[in-house]
Formats: sequence, structure tokens, C-alpha cells
Amino acid sequence: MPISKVIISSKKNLQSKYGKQFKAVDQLLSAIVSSDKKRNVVTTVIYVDDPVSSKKAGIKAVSSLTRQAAKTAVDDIYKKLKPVYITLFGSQDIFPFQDIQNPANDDDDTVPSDLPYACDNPYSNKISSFTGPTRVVGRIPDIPGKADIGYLKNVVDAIVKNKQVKSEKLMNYFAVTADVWKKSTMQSLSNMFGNSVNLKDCPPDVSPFTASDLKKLTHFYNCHGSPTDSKFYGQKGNNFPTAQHAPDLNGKISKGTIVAAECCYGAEVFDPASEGTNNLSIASTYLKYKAVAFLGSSTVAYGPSSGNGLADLITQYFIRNIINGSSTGSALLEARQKFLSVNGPTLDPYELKTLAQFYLLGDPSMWVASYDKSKTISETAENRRLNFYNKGINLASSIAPSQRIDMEKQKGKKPVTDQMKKILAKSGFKGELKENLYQVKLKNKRIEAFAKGMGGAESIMYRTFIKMRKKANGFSTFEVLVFKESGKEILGWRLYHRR
Amino acid sequence: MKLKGKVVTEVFGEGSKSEHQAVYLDTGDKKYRLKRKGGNPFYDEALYNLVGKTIAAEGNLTAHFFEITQNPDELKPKSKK
Repeated sequence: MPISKVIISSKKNLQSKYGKQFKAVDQLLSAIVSSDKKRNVVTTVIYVDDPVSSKKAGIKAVSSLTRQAAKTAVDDIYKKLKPVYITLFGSQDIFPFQDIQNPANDDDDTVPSDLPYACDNPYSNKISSFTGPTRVVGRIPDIPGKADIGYLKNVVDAIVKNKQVKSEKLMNYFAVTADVWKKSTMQSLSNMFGNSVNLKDCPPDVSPFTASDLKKLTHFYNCHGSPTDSKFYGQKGNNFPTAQHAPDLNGKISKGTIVAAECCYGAEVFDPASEGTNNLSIASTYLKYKAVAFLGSSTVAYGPSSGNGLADLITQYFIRNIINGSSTGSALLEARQKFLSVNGPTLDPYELKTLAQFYLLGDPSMWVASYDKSKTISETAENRRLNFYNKGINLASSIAPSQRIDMEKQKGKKPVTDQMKKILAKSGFKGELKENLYQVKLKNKRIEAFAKGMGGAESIMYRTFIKMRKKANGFSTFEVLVFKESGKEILGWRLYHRR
Repeated sequence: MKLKGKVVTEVFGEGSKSEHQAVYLDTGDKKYRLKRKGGNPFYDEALYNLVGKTIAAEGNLTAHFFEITQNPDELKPKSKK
């Protein structure tokens, strides 16, 4: 039978981190292989920096596991074996994230991402290379900076003992929102579950939540998050209470839980020694207590001013796909493709950042929702893969990412139009504004000609204005107004801000 | 390590899901986002009470913060008797 799943890691980094316990790590990976075999998933473990393992996989061994070498190794494996699932094993100190240049104008220099591993294009640190995902990818993380074999045993135990449940069980959810984003979260929940009755509103609701709340199988967060922090935070005015705290999950999580977190840094995994209270991250803690999938962001995340968009969309697509019977990894691939289809064909810098920053922690081959095959349309795994591949290739050839251009070069060339001034005034954008301009190079010449026909000689551009609003209490809120332009015509505008 | 500077507020995460008025230590050369070790990164009243004051604080430099290890009350400049 052909190989359907590859577990990719670094033997050198595992040996260096786990020392004599490397053998136990290797045995845990063998346990996943054996367990997969029982469900007709043919799995192989490939250490890309081990000559024997690499040769067996038909690729050249990597001598130094740089980001570029890691990406090339994954690409070579994919070309050779065409696996359904790509499982990266280990945190960033074992197998690197790809560092994407941050397309948005914010405090993150780069965006740690697994998206490039899901795309056919070769190594690059530019998001514009990765707008056509075709592969199912997830990462089984260990704890960065800490060789904790007990933690890994728990994570692997959840994988090998995973049991599918009826979709209805996943519809019973636990959700927490920062009060300021309550309306948007209610809309997200309604899109996923048809109601928002279980929503916890922080404040007044705060961590710890009860075992009865947390035993539900689907968890959703729309809260604040901060780097290297074991807490998510709610908000009402100047009050930012604790919406979730990693130690408060202890013993309350059901095996097989799935989680989606919109929070900034929501899926960050870090060395607990670098956290002020020596706690694991919330994502690591969920996996420790045998959750099987955690989708979240590596960096500062965004949402629109009202309704749903950006982080709201990719998280709710992911959850819906799992409930509808996709594997956790396919759920992310489908979510990424849908996100691109819905927001494309041109993408503003915040849409691009959202695409790059959300990754799956957990084995991507986990099927969480059971479904009665006799009642569904007959479709082979091969046909699904073909469809994913087709969609990914089509997206790569049609999606046109925006790229920031030097404002100095644009001064005088692209003045703010009267129509734009009216919209800025209507949206309360007055006073000192930070302005940025992004250019889009459409990939389809017919579409480009059509766009030029609408707006004159120039192609599509995005113009962003960032505005700080001072509040009476001394605090400020910040909003981003994004215009989409073709020549002198405004094709649309969107407002993103703290919701 | 010890850093000396003026405590100021500045925006963090403009337009994002973590945007807030953050507290920074402006040393003249660089601004460091402040947080108490294990403290709330979004709003810590004890740190806000230091805004406008010049302090010399013990702490640890992380990738994102200067984490103060001292009690902020000890950092308030003493009034002359």
C-alpha cells in the first residue's frame, strides 16, 4: 500500500534535546505508526537529517536544519511519496517554523508559520509565494526548551487512542469572548453551531471555569492574548480579567477536545521557564490533557470592526469542517482554501497575515467526527485529494497578494481623493493618520485588463490608514481603514479594529 | 539587569486583537514594553501609577517585554521630607 502519512522530524535535534530518552521518543513515534496501521493509514517516520532514514525515504539527508533546508526536505518528501498527511514532529527547537515577513504594519517582525510546508512553491520568506495551499499539514509539538517525555506520552496517547464521536457531540461547545467582541463572537458561534447560548462573556465570566463547562468537546476563544503568557484575557473598558489560565484546565478537559483560538499569540508554544509563572502555554496545556487539535495564531491577529472577518473566518471554517467529518488537517486545508476563495482574488496585508499566522497543533490525520459512509455521497480519498490539489493550484494562479510600496515614492502620485476623504470623515478618521500603500499584481491578464478598464491606467492597490482614538478615560483604541482602489476609483473599503 | 528611564504609555498592536495602551520604559536609547513578572500585560494599575515618573527597575529582558521583578511600589520616587 502507498504511504499515506509521513511524520517528519530531526533526529539530531531530538537526540540533542532528549539525550538517552531519544529511544523513548522514537518508540512513541512507532506507536503512532502501529496505531495508524490499524485504521488503514500507512505511516512512515522520516528523520530528514539522518542519512539512513532519508535514504529510505528517497531524499538527500539535510546536514544543517535551516528553515530553507527544512522546507526543501518537506517538498522533496512530498514529491517522492505524495502523502495524504504531513505531520511535523516537535516544536520550533526540533523542526523550525517558516518565518514569513510580516505583510501587515504592526509590531511583529516575522510570522512563524507552517503554511509554506502546505504549499508547492519552493522556500521563500514572502507570503506572496504561499497563496495556493495544497497539502494537509499539522504539527505535534513537544515543549520548547524542555525534554519532558511524560508530556509527549500524553500527546501521543491522545493520538493513538482517538475515538471518533457523533457530530452532535461536537455541537455542544464551550466558548469564551472578551466582552468588547461579544457581538462578533455570537455571530461566529451562530455560524458554527446555530446558537450562542453557551457563550461565556469575560467579564463578568472569568477563569476558572467548571469541569462541566470544560468537558465539552469543542472549545472556542475570542479573547486577548499576549506573547509568552499562559493566560487569555477578556476586556470591558480598562478591565482585562483572565478569561483562561493554563493551570485552570488541569483535569477538566475531555480526551479528543478540539480548540480554535482567535487570540493574538493563541497557539504559541514556549519554554515555560520563559513565562513569568513557569506555566505551559494554553495550547500546550490542551494537548497535555489530550485535546487532539488546536488551531491558533503565532502572532498579533486581526478582526473587522463589526461582523466576521479575518481570524473569525479561518477559525470558524476549521471547526465547521471538523464537525462535517474532515480530518483535523484537511479541516485546516479546506479552511485556508475557503478563506482565500472568499477574500480573493486580491488580498490586503491583514488577510495575508491571517493566512500565514494560523497553524494546527496536533496530528493532522485525526478524524474526530464519525459519519455514516452509507448515507454520504460516495467519494474516495483520492478524489478529495485531487480536488484539494486542483483548488490549491487554481488559487495559487489566481490569488494576487498585495505588497507594500515605499510611500516616499508614492507621494504626489496617489493623492487622497475627495471620495476617500468623505469616507475617512464618515468613519471618524481625522487628525494624525498613519498611511500605507500596497500594490497588487493581478496574475490573470484578462482580469488585470478588466480592472484597468474600470479605473483607468493603473492596477489594483490597497491603501491603509491607521488611526488612534483617545478615550476620555485616558485609554485609546486603534482602527485600520483599508481602501481598495483601481486608479481613481474606490472599489471598496473595510474597517478593522479592536472589537 | 537594571534599566533606568521614564515610564510612558504608547500603543501596542494598532488595529489588532491585542491593541491596547501599553506601558513602556523609555531609556532614551530604546523603549521597552513593561510588564510585571507574571503580571497582566494589558493593564496593570501598579505600572500605570508610574507613568510620567523616572525609575530604575530590576527585571529580565524577554523577546517582547522588560519584565519587572521588583514591587512597583518600591520604584516610586521618594518624596523629599
